[in-house]
This record gives sequence, C-alpha cells and structure tokens, in this order.
Amino acid sequence: MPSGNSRSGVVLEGGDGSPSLGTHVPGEAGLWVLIFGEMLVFAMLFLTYVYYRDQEPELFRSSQRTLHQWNGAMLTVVLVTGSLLVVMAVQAAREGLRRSAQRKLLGAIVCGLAFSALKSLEYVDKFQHGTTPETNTFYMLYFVLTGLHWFHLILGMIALAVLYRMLGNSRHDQPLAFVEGGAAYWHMVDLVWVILFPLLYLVR
Amino acid sequence: MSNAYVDDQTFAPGAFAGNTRALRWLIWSGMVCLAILGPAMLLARVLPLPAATLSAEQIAHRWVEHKNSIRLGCVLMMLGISLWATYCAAISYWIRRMEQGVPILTYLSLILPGTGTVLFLLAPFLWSVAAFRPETMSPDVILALNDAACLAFIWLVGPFIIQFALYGIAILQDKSAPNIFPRWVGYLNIFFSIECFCGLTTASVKSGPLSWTGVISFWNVMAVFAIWLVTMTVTMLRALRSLEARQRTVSESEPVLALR
Amino acid sequence: MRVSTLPVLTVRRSKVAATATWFFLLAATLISSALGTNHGVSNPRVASTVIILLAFVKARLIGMHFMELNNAPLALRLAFEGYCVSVFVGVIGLYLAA
Repeated sequence: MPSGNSRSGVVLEGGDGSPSLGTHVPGEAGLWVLIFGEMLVFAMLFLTYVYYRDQEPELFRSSQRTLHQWNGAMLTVVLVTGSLLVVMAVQAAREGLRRSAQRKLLGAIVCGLAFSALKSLEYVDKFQHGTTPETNTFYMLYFVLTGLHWFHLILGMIALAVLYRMLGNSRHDQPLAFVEGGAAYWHMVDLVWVILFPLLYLVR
Repeated sequence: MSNAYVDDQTFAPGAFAGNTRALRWLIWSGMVCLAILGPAMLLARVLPLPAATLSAEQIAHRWVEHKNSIRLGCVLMMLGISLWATYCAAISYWIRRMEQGVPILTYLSLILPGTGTVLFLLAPFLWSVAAFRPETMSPDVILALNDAACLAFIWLVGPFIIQFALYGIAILQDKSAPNIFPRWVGYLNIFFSIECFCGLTTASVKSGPLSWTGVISFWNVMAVFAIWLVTMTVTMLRALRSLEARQRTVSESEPVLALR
Repeated sequence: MRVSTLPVLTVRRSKVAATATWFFLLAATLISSALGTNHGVSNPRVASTVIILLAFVKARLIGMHFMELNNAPLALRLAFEGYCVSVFVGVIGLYLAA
C-alpha cells in the first residue's frame, strides 16, 4: 500500500513492490528538447503579436471584434476536454487497462477533430467575408498563429493515433514513456491554445 | 541483432570501422561550410537578406554598387554550400549504422541532401546572375532575381523538412545498446524539421518578423540551423571516438578476428 | 495485462487533481470570455490584464497537472515555471506599454 508522506503525493513502487520517493520525467528527457523548443517558438510568436498590437491598437481592436469570442471559448472547452481524456488515458495505461486507454485516446482524437471542424468553420466564415491573411496585420497574425497551432494539433492527433495503435498491439509490452511522451506533446498543443485564445480573441 | 544483410558484417557490434580519417573530414566539413557561409553572405550583402520592402531601384543600385563583392561572396557561398553534401554524407554513414534490415532511411538520407544542395545553390546562383551585368539590366529584372533568390534561400524548405524528420526518426528508432546518438539529438532533429515551416510565411509577408528579414522566419531559423549543425558535429565526433575505441579493443583482444 | 515494464508509478491524487484542473480551466475560460466580451469589468486594460494573467495560470496548471511536471525533476519543473513567468512578463509588459 503506498504511503502518503511525500511532498508531491507520489510514491514510486520499486520492482519488488517496495516504496521509494522520487521524481519522474514524463516521457523521456530528450522529448523535452522538442517540447520546450516548440513552446519557445510560440512564445516568440506571442510576443510578436503583442508587439504588433502596440503599433496599431485601434486596427487590432476593430478587427478583433469580427472574431467570435464564444466560438473561441467553445474551441478551448473542446481542446481542454481532450486533454483531460489524454490524462485519463495515460492513467489507464499505467494500470495496464489497454482498452480503456485506447477508448480515451479515441475520445481525445474526436475532440481534436471537433476543434478542427469549428476552426474550419471560422476560417470559411472569414473567407466568405473577404477576409484573408493579406487584409491587414491583425488578420495576418491571426491566420498564421491559429494556422500554425492547428498544424501542431494535427501532429498531436497523429501522435495519439500512433499511441492508439501501439496500445492495441498486445504482443509487446510498450514502454510507458511513449504514452507519456505523446500525451505531453498533446498537452503542449493545448497549453499554446490556452494562451493564444485570450491573446487573439479577448485582450482588448 | 539479426540483419537482413546476412553477410554485411560491416556493422556488427565491434566491427572494424575502416579508415575513419575520411569520415572525420566529412564530419568537419559541416563546420567548414558554416564558417565559409557567414563571411560569404556578409560579402554578398545578403546577411540579412535585402528587405522585401526595398524598391527595384534600391535593389538594382545595390547590385551595381557592390557587384564585385557580391560576385565573390556568391562564389564562396557556392563552395561552402557544396560542403553541405559532404557533411550529409557523413550523417548517412551513421543513419546506416542505426538502421536494421533494408536501409530505407539511409537511401532517403542520401537522396534528400542531394536535392537540398541544389536548392541551396539556387540563391547564390541567382544573385550572381543579377550581378552579371547589373548596369544594363532593368531594375525590375534584378528585383525579380533577388526575390527568387531570397525565396529559394528561405521558403524552399520542403525537402529539408523531410530530411530532418527522417534524421530524427532514424535516431529515435535506433535499437543499438548503447544508442549511437543520444535520444535528445533525435528530438532536436524533429524540432528543426518543424521549425523549417517558419520560412513559409516569407512568400506572402513582406515586412516584420515573418518576412525573410524577420526575427522568426530568418534569424530564428538561421540560429536553430547553427545550433543543429554544431550539435550534430559534436555528436558524430563523439560517436566516432567511441566506435574507434571499441575497434581498438576488438583488434587488441582478437587480432585475427578483426572484421574488415 | 501490464503495459509498462518500468516500475509502476502510483499517483494517488492525480485523478482528482486532473478533473479539478479541468473544472478550473473551464471556469477560467468562462470568466475570461465574459471579461473579453465587455461583461463585468468596464476598464479594458484591467480586464485584459486579468485575462492575460488567467491565461498563464491556466497554462501553468496544464503543465503541472496534465503534463505531470509537478512530479518532475526540479530542473525540468523550474524550466517550465521560468517559461511561464518570463513569457507572462513579456506579454503583459508589451501590452501595458502600448
């Protein structure tokens, strides 16, 4: 029975069942080179956005009003729900419940698809109003930022799909590191959106 | 470790690596490439690239004024970029070591740098064409040639995206014990592959961070390229050193059985 | 059927923590969206500052509880916290400088 005396609430069970306190790198250490790299690129893009906003605040404010804030909120809810499902999938995988983990991964992928559907509706709506990345600086940044994020979401969904297949392969025991790693990448995509949405849609 | 190439003993554990001096030269050619490219681009006045907001007259004036240094810079760029091919050949050697069975990733790692070198060479070539007789050429033509060269330099990233992604995949799927390259280097390659997408906005954005003079689409990509190159060079040199050490151990302990 | 050949990581409170985080994220999204559509606070700069702050609080929570960085080695955790703080400072600094 794991004891609860650790600072972080985590107790590692050794191979022989003996408890030991410790830390755990989600996925593997090298993966965080990729994740932090991506986060840094997006950080630069966030700062770029605010920098440009400072140059033409009125233009940004008026253009921003054409965005559908509550649709953006919906996008956030969908993505965050997908993340919760991914967390639950990892927990299921840890307990050896492959099928359960697979179902939750599938749920997360469905969330990703729902996000994509809502996003494409947004884009189509913009194009129908004649708004393109060329229209002004705000829209250029809007399309580039959300487009780049969407691309990363697709990569995240592919990662989850690969994990789904891996978990279905009952011949081998898969290292938990892969499942955690794919999940970490998905969460990074979620994290980026959680900053991107308020910046683009809400900050006036 | 079973291998579809039954008699390919070259890469069996402890196998003789052959003459590693040539491989060492190839590995170092990457740093030489970088060392040449820096000054060459400064000479050709393309570091940073000429701003996309400049007029045809301004661009033409630059080419007329500095045509000699541009010509020299482009020659040096061409020579430096040719070393990109030799450097990637060194990488292919290691990809081959990491692969088991049919060496698909190795094949790709041989083809893609070939494509990449040609694409890379387009920029100095076009700039040289513009510098051929800039006095008599119409400024619009020089502008078009410069636009083409700048886009070739930054925007033409398709094969590179695949090349770095496959390097990453090859490094991460390496089942050797110990790993030939550290795992994080594989992830760095995947990161660089995705980074290359930053160059794509330059075909539509003419000013600011996403243009070909911008922080994100130019400087950021150049910086990550330099970091990538230094990392890969150091990693390959380390791997070569440990390979040579194992080779010495094998040949010292069983001189008769050292495999060629 | 065991998935992992590594020692089993037994995280007692993480299931509750994950769901609680999810609820918080939804609530924060609701509050931010309300503030961003002219409800509640009338001063746009104050509203936007709160919105930006909430954004980075949400990001940090995702890192801590979803990415499980709260159990990670100190270096990784500090790198992440450092990221959240510095990007927040950068964004809020640039925003307020306008």
